[in-house]
Amino acid sequence: MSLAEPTAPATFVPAASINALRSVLQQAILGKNEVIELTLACLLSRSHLLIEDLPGLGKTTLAKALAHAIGGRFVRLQCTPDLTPSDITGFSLFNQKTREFEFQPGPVFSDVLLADEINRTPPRTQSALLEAMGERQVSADGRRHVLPETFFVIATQNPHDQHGTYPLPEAQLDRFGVKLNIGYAAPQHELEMLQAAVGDATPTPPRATLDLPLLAALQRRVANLHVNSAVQRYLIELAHATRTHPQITLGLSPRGLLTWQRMAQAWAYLHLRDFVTPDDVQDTAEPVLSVRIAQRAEAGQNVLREILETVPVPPAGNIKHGAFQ
Amino acid sequence: MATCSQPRPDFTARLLLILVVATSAVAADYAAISQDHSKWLLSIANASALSACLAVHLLFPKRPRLSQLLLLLCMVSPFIVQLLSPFIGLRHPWELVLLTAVRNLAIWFALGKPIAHQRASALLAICVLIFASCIETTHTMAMFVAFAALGAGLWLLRQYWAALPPMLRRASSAKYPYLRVIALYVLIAIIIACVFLQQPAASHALAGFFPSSGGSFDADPNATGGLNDAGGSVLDSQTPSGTGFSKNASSMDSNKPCLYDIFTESYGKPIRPDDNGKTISLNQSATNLKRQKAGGDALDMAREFDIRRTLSTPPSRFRNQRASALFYYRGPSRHLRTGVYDVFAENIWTRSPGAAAYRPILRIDDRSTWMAPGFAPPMHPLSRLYSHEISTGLLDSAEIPSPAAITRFRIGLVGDPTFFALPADHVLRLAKRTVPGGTVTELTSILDDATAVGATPLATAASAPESIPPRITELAHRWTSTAPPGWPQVHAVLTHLQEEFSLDRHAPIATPAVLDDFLDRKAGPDYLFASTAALSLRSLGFHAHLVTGFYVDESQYDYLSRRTPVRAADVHTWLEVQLADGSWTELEPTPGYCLPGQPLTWSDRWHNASQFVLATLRAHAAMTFTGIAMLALIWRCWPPILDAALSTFLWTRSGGNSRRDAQRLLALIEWRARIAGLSRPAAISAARWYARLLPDSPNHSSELLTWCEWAQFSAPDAPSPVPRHTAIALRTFAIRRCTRAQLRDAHRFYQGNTA
Repeated sequence: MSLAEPTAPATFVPAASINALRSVLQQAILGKNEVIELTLACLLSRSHLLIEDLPGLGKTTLAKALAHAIGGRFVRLQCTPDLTPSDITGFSLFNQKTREFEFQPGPVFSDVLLADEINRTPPRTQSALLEAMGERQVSADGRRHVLPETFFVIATQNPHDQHGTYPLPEAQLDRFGVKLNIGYAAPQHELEMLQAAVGDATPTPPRATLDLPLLAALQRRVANLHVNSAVQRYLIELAHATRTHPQITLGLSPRGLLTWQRMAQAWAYLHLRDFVTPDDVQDTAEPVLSVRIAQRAEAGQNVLREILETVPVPPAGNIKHGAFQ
Repeated sequence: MATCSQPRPDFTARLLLILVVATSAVAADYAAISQDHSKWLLSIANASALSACLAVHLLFPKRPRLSQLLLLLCMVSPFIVQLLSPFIGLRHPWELVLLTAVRNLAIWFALGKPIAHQRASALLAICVLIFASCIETTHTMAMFVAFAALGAGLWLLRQYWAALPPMLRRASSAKYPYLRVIALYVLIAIIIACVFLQQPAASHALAGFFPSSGGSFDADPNATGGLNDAGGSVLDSQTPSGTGFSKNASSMDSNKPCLYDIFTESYGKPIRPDDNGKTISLNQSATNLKRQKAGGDALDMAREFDIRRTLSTPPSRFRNQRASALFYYRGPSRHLRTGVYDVFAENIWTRSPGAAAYRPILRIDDRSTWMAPGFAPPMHPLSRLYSHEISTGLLDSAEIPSPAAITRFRIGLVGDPTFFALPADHVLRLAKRTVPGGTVTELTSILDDATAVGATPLATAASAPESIPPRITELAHRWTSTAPPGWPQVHAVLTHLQEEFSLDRHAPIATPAVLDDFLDRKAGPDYLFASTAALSLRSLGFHAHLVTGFYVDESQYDYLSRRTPVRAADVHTWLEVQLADGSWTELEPTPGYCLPGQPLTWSDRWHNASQFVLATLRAHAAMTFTGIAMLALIWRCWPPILDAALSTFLWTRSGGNSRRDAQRLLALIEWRARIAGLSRPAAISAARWYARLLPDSPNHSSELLTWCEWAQFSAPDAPSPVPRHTAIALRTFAIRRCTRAQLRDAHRFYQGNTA
């Protein structure tokens, strides 16, 4: 499989494998096209995905479908309260034959890691993923173990008010690209789901539609998408607004700003554009910001909307190029 | 369950407030009237309008809006009248206009029932009172202020009582403490009476409440030792009750800092009074005694201090050099008078015997050496007082070159009025000696406003004197044959002299036919100009006389000494003409000389600007009419005109640069949307906003918006997403279809769908 490079921006078409991946996800979870698009954008932006919702709404199904569709080595990690950090990163064993300690890699050494119900494990164990998610490497016993370039973490979590959950630390949250809520499906999609389940005793996992080299190439392509300086200034003003808003206690970090720009690039790529517009920034604002900014308890649900409706977008008549000159 | 009743409006408080506001209004009118009696008409009109408003307010209590609207009109009307002043001939200073407007606003607020209105009314009434008392400082105004203060104090107490929380009262029905208020006012009245009636015991007791700088006792007329002591201070050693510093060895030899050292460090060295100013009124023995005084001012307990902090200034040229001019002048005047000649006979100007009669000179008060003439010169409404300073140099005369209409003057510490003389010609001089070199004379005089003077009629004589040469009489009548009587005749004479004659300081004097020679040659020195003008005006029936003195040439101004030296070459002659109110005003017939300019008031600037505009419009009537018609046309239908212009511009200038074309199209659409009242919100992108506003042509709309997005945000070297023929189609679509009407229709359709 090879990446189909577009011939011209006017007919800009992403790789056909993206469409195939989209189809796989649409078959796995019905009627959630926006969630699927954001999931794809997260994958292409080389971020990590956090899915939060009530049990049984399809978090694990979406994560498994994505993991299988990507291909590569897939590991599922069921996070439990007794999980230890070494259970994730690996540990050293004394080899009686060689009389040396040998490192036994943990499940984090994979291409796609599904950390199911991540907030059911204590923060000490959650923190074992920090280095792997942020720098794509694991340091153990003074040695550095590099993870694959396309290392991708899909984590699911239950809402905080559920029993037996621990809140994710802010440093952990900041390393996720987006946080998605799936929500209940529409009645017609639930009917379709029920009809498809009849007679399907052992559902087969979807086949891989994307190999890892192609995914890496797509991620590089997304990273090279043009971002106008006006759009970057718009991003900065939005970030500044989150830091100065009276109802927000933790604003957007510079790492979060980088993640937001990359998400906007991926969003533009998925919408067949080779440049980023303010609409891409606005469309990816809520999933990107909701995972990493902290609001006051008394703050309403419309703080992010208020920020987006307050900060002006770059002017229509591009000052840089100048209209009516 | 307790019931909360609405507090009843305090009728007494409202009455008191209306009383205060009415007092301030009357004071404002009094201040305006006192400036110019011609304002009676305006004041009567104002009073009538306000009375009508009050009548409406009382007769129709259920329609307060009507009276308030009328009062608002009253508030605005002075400004309208002032703006129309160039056209209707009425002119008032902007200060009076503002005062009238504020006064009406205070009354408008006083009629309102809300407490906020009443407070605003009280505040405005205080402003009006302060303003009025600044304009007019007579005893009558002081009575107005006192009456208003009495009412305002009662109103304030009433408000305070009404605002007290009920818990602080003994009962909710506690009555207003009239007796205590009256007692308080009586106490205040007693205090004021004690202070102003100068009852020694009471004054001393009250003065003890105020801090002093030390010394024996402030209220003691013979006190000493502290600053601001009474004028008759004596040495502390002479009064056994003194507690201040004394000139004895024990205090001066102490190593501890004394009060004077502290003041010297804080405020600089003490002022040394001008020796010349102090000594010229003393006899020789007293002068010598004063100069032999040991220790200088540093040991003088009664020396003066400047409480202002001043920076050290380098010695000026004026102080360090010997005088090179007759005198040095600082002030606004250009003509300084030394003599007046009002009798002309046989080509000779002389002074009338009555002109030498001295007028009385009064000392203004005992605390200063300011003198004032016993007769107050008339002051026109727009005239102002200006300060002058004349430092005598080489001038050796008894006359002090001074401006006309002196209101006060002083020379240093000379406090004897008999030292000066002020004849009827109003030329200040020393009575028995010449002015010594270095004498600094300070004066305050009235400088007339040219506009106000021009509006004052001239005094006329019953018949022209017979001594006027017939040739000048004939010439004057010929020059003024087309001018209406009065000031136009004066201006005609001056204009002819200034335009047809030239100044020749060295013209030969051909006596006795000097005036004939001047009229023949049309050139001569300045006194011939002044003589000709004065005689011409006399022949026309006006009172005019010749004035000699000095002309202050501003080009000689010395910025180091901040004075203008006046030398012998600046001797000048001009004339004065008498007005109907008895005052005299300067006229300058000699070319090259001019009367002093005055800083323009806002009224003058507005008047001058409007006159200039009117004159320009009249001079270019055709162009003005065409311009007004075009402006009216553009004003009536400017969106289509501008739209057509922009569209034409786009048609003619497009096709070269795809990115620029797209940006221009987007700018056009943005402009049309703004004109249509559908401006794009700042936080919504153009693609999202216009996706629902553009006409229902999906392909073109989406393509156009994609093109515009590319033009805005794509990489500079990115190729255009639309080929050339598509770009032409999109341009046609944007210009012809995306009109204001189409945008409005699309918006209406979108709103209908979303609803």
